[in-house]
Amino acid sequence: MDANLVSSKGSLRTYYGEALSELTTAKDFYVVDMDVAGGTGLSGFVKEHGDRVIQCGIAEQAGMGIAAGLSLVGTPVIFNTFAVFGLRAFEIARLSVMFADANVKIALSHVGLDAGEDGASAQSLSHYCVWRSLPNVEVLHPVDRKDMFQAVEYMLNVKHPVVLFTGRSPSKQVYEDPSPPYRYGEADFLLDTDDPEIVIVGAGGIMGEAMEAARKLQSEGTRTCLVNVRSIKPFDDEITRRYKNVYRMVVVEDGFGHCGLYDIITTKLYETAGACDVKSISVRDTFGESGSRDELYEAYGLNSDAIYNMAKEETL
Amino acid sequence: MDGYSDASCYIREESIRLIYEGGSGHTGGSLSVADILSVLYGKFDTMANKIILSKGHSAPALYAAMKYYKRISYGDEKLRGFGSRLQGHPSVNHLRDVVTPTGSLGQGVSVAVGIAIGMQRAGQGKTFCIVGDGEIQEGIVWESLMIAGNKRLSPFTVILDYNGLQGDGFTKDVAPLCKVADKASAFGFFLHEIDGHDTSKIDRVLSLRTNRPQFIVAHTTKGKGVSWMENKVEWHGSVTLTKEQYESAVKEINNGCESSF
Repeated sequence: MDANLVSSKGSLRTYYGEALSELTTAKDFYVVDMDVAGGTGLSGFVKEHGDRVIQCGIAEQAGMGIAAGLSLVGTPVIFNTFAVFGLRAFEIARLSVMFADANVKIALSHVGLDAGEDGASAQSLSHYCVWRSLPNVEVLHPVDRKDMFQAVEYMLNVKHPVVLFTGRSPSKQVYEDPSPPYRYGEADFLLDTDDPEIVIVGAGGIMGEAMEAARKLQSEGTRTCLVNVRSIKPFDDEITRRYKNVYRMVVVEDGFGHCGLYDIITTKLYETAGACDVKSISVRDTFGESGSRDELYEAYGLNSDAIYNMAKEETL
Repeated sequence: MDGYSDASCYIREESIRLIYEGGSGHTGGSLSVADILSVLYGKFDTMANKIILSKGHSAPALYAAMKYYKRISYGDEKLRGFGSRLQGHPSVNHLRDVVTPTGSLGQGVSVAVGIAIGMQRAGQGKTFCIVGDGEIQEGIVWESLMIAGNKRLSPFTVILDYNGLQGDGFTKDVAPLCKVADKASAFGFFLHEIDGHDTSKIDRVLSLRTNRPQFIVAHTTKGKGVSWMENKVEWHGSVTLTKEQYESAVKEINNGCESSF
């Protein structure tokens, strides 16, 4: 096993909490929580900076409005819950955050089958679909600890609405080198090579699986690129511009592809007359179930083996 | 008569004019909330304090109040018109004095709680939120009240424009509120019940200082000021007024105003 890709104890939610704790000296912000601080990586933050937490109890709709109102008084506010429960507050976000251009950051955890054992009720699969549908919002999904720290710092710097996804299960390291600062609407071309045959494009913690697959392909002599999308919205057109005519693009996401990254990329390739073969690693319009992340990734075809096999699949 | 009569009259007449000239708009609720807005905008500077009309469909009355008290000015911009700043429901993107966009019932209360939390921490300003009786059927309202009550949020005032009617009929038939005053009180609010058309009472109750959030049940008449609109469900939703209806309504409002001087 590649030592660089060993699962850490921490998960994206842990790193999100650590990033917030680290930024409290430099930045003013509040967190509006709905009784899930413990489950979203914020136990440490609450202990050290409880004065910054507005606890609403289990009341997501009110919490979203409260975050919007509080932000109007002059400080960025993070609305913090599980991605599925954030859906309860979607309509409030639509009007009181996006339409109002409120300085609210919507931090959503338990994204994808990565949410694991809680099962279907907690596994968010529509997160890209739903949140990218709204105007006036940046939608970000970092891949590992280094990427998360960059994303959190970025989102607290900008003044417009941002949605940030984290995750529950232990994550795999993707960046060996420091990950670059986030820039508006820009992806990171993590592995790039001339005249690529396979391009793997994706976002979030599942990119740990994608990196494993990419390394394996490279070791076999396949010219492979890996793109960390980072920003689901706005989507970096450079991705499809650069790779529109490669042999194959494998789009990787822990969620629905039919309205997620796969949908975004195929549309862009159609609009730009791209000629590449696009494959989807995603959840195929079905709900999840209980299981460990690794069991679920294997059963639903989201792990590095599935990505590798999809890259190598013979075209008809 | 107190200093609010002129404003109340203006708000009623201007609301009807905006709806007539614009071609559509919500009449009944604009007329029922007129006196509440008359006092709020007359009494409180809106730079330091925040007024949120959570029942945003009464936008005509809000615009009229803002105009009377010189927070905005508009010429012949049409209510709900394309390109107009007088959007169908109050929009922050069109009028600077609109605190938060409303029109999706219940949201304004939660935003008002957020504002009040921020202002309480900063030690400055009062927050007022006007809700409708149909509106408080939304769960988000009670989530917000529970949070405000738990946090002993102050200064924070919710005013219920209790006109007894909503989209599909009388509130008591659609979804009765039952003992709404008791409910608000149980959620930790300091409770007042007043005549929502008595501006001196509204003024008095808004002058009180409390160390808890305040809930004012303001009993009102939907369509107040126009006899043939009063207490009729058909004057809840967006309607188009004929010239005759417009003239009749304005005449009645003016008569009502004159008789009170």
